Amino acid sequence: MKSKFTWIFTLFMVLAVQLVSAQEKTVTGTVTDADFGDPIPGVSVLLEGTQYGTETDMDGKYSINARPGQRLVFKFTGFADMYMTVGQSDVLNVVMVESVDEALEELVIEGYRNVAKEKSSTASTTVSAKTIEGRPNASILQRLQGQIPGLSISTGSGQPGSNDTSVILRGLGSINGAVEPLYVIDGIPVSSDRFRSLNPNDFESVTVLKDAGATAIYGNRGANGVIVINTKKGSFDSALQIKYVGTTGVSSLQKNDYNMMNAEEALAYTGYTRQALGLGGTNYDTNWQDVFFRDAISQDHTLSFTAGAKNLSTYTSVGYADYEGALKNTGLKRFSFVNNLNGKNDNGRLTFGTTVSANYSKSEIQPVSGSATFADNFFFGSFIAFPFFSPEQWDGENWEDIRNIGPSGMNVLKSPFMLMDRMKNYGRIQDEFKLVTGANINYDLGSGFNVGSRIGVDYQTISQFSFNDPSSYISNSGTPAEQIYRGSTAGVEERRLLINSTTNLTWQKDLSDKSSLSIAGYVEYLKGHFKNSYYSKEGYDPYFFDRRDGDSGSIPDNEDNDFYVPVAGMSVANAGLFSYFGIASYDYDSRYGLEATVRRDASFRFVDDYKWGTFWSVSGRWNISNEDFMSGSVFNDLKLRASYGTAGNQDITGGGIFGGAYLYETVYGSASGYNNHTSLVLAQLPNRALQWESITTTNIGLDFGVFENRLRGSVDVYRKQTDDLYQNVPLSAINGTTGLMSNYGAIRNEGIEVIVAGDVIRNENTRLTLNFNGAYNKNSILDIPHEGGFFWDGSGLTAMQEGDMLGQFYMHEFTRVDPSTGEALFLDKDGNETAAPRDEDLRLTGKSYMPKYVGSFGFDFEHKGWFLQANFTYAQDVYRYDNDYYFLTFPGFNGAINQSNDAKDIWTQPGDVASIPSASASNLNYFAGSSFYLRDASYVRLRYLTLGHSFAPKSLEFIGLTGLRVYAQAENLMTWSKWKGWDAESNRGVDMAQYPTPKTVSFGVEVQF
Amino acid sequence: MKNKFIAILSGLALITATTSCEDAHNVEQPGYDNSTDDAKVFRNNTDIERGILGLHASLSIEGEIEFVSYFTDELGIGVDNGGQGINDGSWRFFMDPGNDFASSAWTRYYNVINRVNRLLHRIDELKAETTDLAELSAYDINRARLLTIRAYSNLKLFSYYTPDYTDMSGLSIIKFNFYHTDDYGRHEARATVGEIVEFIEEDIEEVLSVGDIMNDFRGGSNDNVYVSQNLARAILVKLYAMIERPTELLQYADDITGKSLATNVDYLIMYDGDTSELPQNPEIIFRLARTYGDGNRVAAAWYESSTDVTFDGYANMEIGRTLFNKLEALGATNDVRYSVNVSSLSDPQPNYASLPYQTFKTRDLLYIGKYMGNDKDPLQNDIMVVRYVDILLAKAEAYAMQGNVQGVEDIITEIREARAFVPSSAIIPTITDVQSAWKAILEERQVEFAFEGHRYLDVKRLGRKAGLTSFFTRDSKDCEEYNVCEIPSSDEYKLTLPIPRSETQSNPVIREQQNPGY
Repeated sequence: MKSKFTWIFTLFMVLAVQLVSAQEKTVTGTVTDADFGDPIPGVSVLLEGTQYGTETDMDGKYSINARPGQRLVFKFTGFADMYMTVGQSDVLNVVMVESVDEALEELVIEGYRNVAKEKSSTASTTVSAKTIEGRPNASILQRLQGQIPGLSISTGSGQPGSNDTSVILRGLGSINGAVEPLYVIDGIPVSSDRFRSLNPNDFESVTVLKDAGATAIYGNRGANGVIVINTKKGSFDSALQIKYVGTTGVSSLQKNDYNMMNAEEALAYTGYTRQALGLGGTNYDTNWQDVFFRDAISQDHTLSFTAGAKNLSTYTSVGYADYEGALKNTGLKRFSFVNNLNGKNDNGRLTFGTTVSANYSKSEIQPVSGSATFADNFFFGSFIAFPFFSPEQWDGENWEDIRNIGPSGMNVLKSPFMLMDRMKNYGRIQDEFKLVTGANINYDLGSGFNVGSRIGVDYQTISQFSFNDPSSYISNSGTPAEQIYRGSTAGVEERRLLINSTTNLTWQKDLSDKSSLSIAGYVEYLKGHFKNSYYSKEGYDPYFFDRRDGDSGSIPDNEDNDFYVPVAGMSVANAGLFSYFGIASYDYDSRYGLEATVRRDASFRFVDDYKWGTFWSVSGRWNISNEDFMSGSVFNDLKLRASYGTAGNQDITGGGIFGGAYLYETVYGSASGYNNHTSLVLAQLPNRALQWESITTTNIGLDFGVFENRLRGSVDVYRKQTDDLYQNVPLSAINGTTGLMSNYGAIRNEGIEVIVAGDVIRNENTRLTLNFNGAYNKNSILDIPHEGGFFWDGSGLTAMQEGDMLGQFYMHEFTRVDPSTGEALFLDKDGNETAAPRDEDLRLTGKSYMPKYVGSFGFDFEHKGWFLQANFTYAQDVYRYDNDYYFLTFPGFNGAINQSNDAKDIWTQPGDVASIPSASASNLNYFAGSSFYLRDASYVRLRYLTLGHSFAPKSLEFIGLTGLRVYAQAENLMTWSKWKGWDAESNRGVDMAQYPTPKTVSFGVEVQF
Repeated sequence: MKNKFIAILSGLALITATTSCEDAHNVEQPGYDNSTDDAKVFRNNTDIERGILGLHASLSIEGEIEFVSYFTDELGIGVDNGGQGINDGSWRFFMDPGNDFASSAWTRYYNVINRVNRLLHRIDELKAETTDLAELSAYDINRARLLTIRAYSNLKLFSYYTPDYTDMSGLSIIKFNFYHTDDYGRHEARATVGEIVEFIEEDIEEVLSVGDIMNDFRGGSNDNVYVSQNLARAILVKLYAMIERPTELLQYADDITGKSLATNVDYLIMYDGDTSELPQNPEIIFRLARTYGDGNRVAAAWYESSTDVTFDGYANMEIGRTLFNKLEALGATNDVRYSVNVSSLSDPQPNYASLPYQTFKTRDLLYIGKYMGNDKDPLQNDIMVVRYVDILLAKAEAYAMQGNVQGVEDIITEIREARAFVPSSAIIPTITDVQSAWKAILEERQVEFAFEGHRYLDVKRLGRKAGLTSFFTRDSKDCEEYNVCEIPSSDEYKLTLPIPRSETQSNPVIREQQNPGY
């Protein structure tokens, strides 16, 4: 720091001396553009470091007073800033090149190309680094939550960086196929939604492309929308900028409303006594959540360097992050490196770029969330463990001691000790290395022709190791007596490589003074390779066992038994896509525009006539604000746009790019057989008529800006229909299987999205912006392959009905408990109460686990460098089956697990008015699956609240910094919801024992120098 | 000019790139070449035999044993019960077309028949390609094995889904006797009882016309883990017991060769988990082999986990008092069936009827002792599908049909004496008339086949004849807490399984042919 300060000071002195000694003179010149040599009027010419400047006139000429050695800055929208040093000559002519990097508000990033916002006719929303940077979430997806209307992101797990996040754009577009959008990073489509290794602080912008006009050029991968992520780049001719962003935070579990019983209440309710349970003389009252969960510390550091010379610019960043999980012994550590290089030749006709993002992360995971096994699921176990036990009762040394705690037998009650044992003796570690790299080159041939090529590689390896210590309870109590050596280890190595290359030829011409046309043709090639190998082994000598490898203490196989034989296997899969497509766009006077795209794809998943698919789109716009009759109106920006087109989804199994590779064939294989002889079996029935789901979208949108953009936003109305849905078509049992996945059926999503921001106060020192974005989506099933347009699988909680939404709950409607008998009462099909409901009394509830309304609202307040931001996210009209609550109140579990105080409101004798039916009611199993446990999961959540100060550059000059920002932030601070569980936000229809998203308080600092 | 030239060149490059990238969309996955055509997979007799092995593996009846034990009076709520059987209704006589077992049994056996038909078709193709007599006769033997499996599957389906066995023109199951690959739109209707009986009889007739099918299968000799002619005869015996043809029943029962009741030592060995002596066991006609690591654990239906089942094994369910009282009445120290079914770690309370429910549940411990497995494979046992005692009791049913009460008494006496450690102390029931003969047969089957998956069908077939007016009546202490004590006469339709939803959803013809009551 000090040396840099000295260096700057010295330079300043030299410059000052020069300034004093040199003579001021008048400098003149002409500014022209590089493409055609035409003069550019209205270019601002400034004296660097001052406010003094002028503009070029109609002939592109300017005149300004300056001294030799001073620098002049030439700026014009759509062109790269030029810095020219005044020399001895009095004439300084400047050639300006059309810029690749526009200010973000002016640019719409459409993936394959960038289009000036004015000339874009598609529906898309962009989020910039300002909103993304510095937030204390490990993964980019959580930082995007609530920011983009129509994009519903819900996190299914609190494991840091978990990819159990569902990202859905404009409603569910498929039943079984992938519903997630395509992710493109720096033009490279990535093979999966694993983002935990990537550092979100490196992202410049995230754009979501929503309608057919934007996504049709992605063909059959863009059917569910496309999320384009661009990492930061440098700019030409700029000084070295160093930026450090650091965040530190504390995360903790949110509260729940289950009202769990404490020790005394539990004893009273179950009828146990401490004496009878062998706990006489103790008075423990343990909160088991405190035993297994903690306040987790996280830290995230990124250091980035941006620099640019005349023909080369670069962005380099190095990041390190350490996110502890709220569950003890879970967490994520990450190291990331990004380097983006952009260059051009002297005349700017050749541009090229490379991008390298190399990331390594290590995660400690506790799997088995989501299942109700009390001995290995901490979330479930910490609720249901009885409080009258205490962790003090087991010293953690000997697993057999667990059996001696408390009563003999009744091992169900001792689950918390098994969990303690699991935390100590079981682990799973995943090492992930993700490399996303690419290069692009573009050459301007002249006469409007441009040729370019881009190649990208996504290489990801995951190495997983899990172990079960030989001294653990599970490995000892679950193995046969004859097996002397217990314990196990397992490893998985997965590697995937995705190569993508695109080549294009573009032609652009101004047809007349006012109109221009551009046509482009592209060829794209995608190839993927996947390899997965695994091993597992049981039997380790406890003297030598080491948790870090699978070799130490490994017991070899012997001839008496097969306990110690390792299991190993490897699988390989390949995938590929090939396409060619074209885009044509026409603009008239910046007022009217028309665009069309056509695309043809071949997928490796389909055969014969179904292999190739053709997709197209047409979109148009009318820049109303550029019309003459609009001059002088309050609208500074008003644009009407519409698009219509088709896209296809070939990820029909939802298994990612490698899934469902072979569904069109009959497959035989060998199986482990019978009586120690292997057998030959038929493994798969063929479906040669498989094809992709096709999605047709109509979108009409209006972008507006009023009162000099003080009120701005856009409104979109859309209808999205998926045909040839991939779903299970029932088959008669004579086929050997009762269902086959085929293309049949249709789903429609229609809705409206609004994003609006208004600057209530906007002046030099203060700004208050209120923002709101919301989306309403109505999902309806149009056609399913079942009689009467209705399907229920016979035991699930949801059913499909033509005309209604997907994921609709189908259950008996519970009314009340009969006070005279203690039986549960339900509505029958005629609306009368009955205690013996049948199948015909099941009702379509009209409630679904996909929310109808999602969005966010908040404000942004800035005053003299201080800023306060708040953002609330909401989801309304969403319901979920609270499976945790079922376990905590259902009479059948009394005595086996700890329950909620709500369970006490149970019917015991005639005359009782209770909310839970009698423990001996005959219809209890109907009660379990009824609407009683279907809960309103709508919520409003204070997603983040930030308070900070941004120091003005002037006040920082004395320490040599160019920027300093400090802030405090709270995430998920408060949630208002009727949901009783830990986390109202979830992407599932039935929620049980899941890892909830934590609330976090963090501090961040951004330093720029 | 130069620019245009470059442009054209680039255009040409694009076009060539377009047409030459086949490897992107014509991807061959590993293993593609040989796995998709049955002519490449089943090339000779050995391959056919490997296919038959695969079918043996599909014949698992662990699910049937579990369903039957929960749905009848075999079980009571166990001391470690955490809601099993109660919450999903399986112990509470809950039955509808979505029932798990109704769906899985239907799917399983039609899957087996589909694969049998494919292999039969392939055998026909292979036979046409050769003239070697030894090979042809080997193909015929394999054909007979496949037909036995098909007849067995048909018998299972017939017994569960046919509402009335004796009505020859009543509805039964689908007659699936054709080669069927991927014509997914084909929908079959239910055939009549008469047609199915004929179908089974024809298959067995062909089986009995060839040489010994059990011998020399997969290099082993006479191991009853594989299908045999005796199994074929047993299938007919059981069929005739259902449709009430005593003469034919007795004829085929007497044709069964080389089988007799086991000694007490052999009986205990059948269930102790040691499989080394089971191939020579005289009583076993057909058993399902269970080997280490193949995932089939029959006792997992009642125990939650682990090695030492009763100490560490979370007994979700225990022996119901109805069944236990019957076993006890045989003579706890004398009858080998008590020793096999009741674990030595049990602690029955003689005064159980007067205990309050919670005490009854925690103190009256009646652990299921059958299927303890062995040290290597706890909870896993070979499953006895057909034993000779089944044939004897079927003969007794034939005698009862013919009114021969003495014949019934003789058979029951023979069995009781064989099962007693001291034959003279065996307790013989008194049989006075035909109805008490049926009752004696039903009760003998109750204790003989406890936890072997027979109870449901036995009550369906014999309940009314034995004079029962309600079914699966449980001891009043067992059913006190949840109030599910029996299936009343009005719910008798539950003794036949419904055609599962998967079939009625996909097959519009069968949709109109659902079993009564559903």
